Amino acid sequence: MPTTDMDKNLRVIADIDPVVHQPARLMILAILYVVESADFVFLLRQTGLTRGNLSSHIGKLEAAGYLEVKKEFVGKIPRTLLSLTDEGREAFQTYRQSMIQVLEDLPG
Amino acid sequence: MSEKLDLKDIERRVHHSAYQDGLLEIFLGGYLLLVGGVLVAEPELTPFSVFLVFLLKPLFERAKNRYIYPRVGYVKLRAGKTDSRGIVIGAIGFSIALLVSIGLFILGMGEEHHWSFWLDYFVPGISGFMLATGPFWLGRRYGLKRGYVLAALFSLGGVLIPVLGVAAGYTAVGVECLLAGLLSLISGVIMFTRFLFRYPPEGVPNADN
Repeated sequence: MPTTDMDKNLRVIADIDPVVHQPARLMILAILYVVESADFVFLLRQTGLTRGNLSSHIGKLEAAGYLEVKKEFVGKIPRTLLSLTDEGREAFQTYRQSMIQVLEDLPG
Repeated sequence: MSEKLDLKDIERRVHHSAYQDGLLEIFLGGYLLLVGGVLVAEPELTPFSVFLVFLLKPLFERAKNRYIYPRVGYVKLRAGKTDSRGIVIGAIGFSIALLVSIGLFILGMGEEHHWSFWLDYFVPGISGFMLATGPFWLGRRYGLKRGYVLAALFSLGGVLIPVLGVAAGYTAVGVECLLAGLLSLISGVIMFTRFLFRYPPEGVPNADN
């Protein structure tokens, strides 16, 4: 937990969103950020994750309010579409800016 | 982790993956073969064949639903921003084509030329450039190199077919559509076949089951 004496640079690191700051979830967010929506199979192919792994991460993102799941029918075939919510887009953008700042401020 | 999460590159790759199956080339090739054949054989039926384009979209979507989406999934791409640079390049290319055509026409004015001289060379040339705009836009929008190659071939074809004496006027346009359609169809079939082998329908990784 951040303390009052914590260097402001360390505070930025401490404030990084743990929901976003996970490689698999970051991949999912990055892909959905550049499209309007995609289905489960598309994300499976693009991320290379297993079904169970992908389902688990989608569940966490949905629980955080970053992902929206919509079911529709194309003719008689059901299709489940995933898209980022406005909160999800904002969280991803905030994460990007935080990481840029963190990496720029690191010594070395 | 790199501080540069290259979203433009991710977007380009996602768009590229949506056009890797060759289906667009197959449908475009088939349509061009039809229009070209009608232009060469029965030119008066051309307007009817052009309207067939409205049937293409639903057929294309059905084919995508049947063969593509079960294998690689479905993605709805975001509407692109206006490609100002692409529009400028296209406008410059078209202007050059127009100036060259006018130059050829003026050069030909010294001798007595029937208006068909204009029809024989100008119409196929302009048609070639118009055919090229579709592939060129695909190349710009989705980073598809084959789009640029096809655009260059279509543009050259519009100029070379009448100049080399293969055909002239509307027949030349028909011949170009036939050649462009054949090229597009063959490349589409090759891509589609490779796609089907690369992505079998039950090949989605499922280590957890």
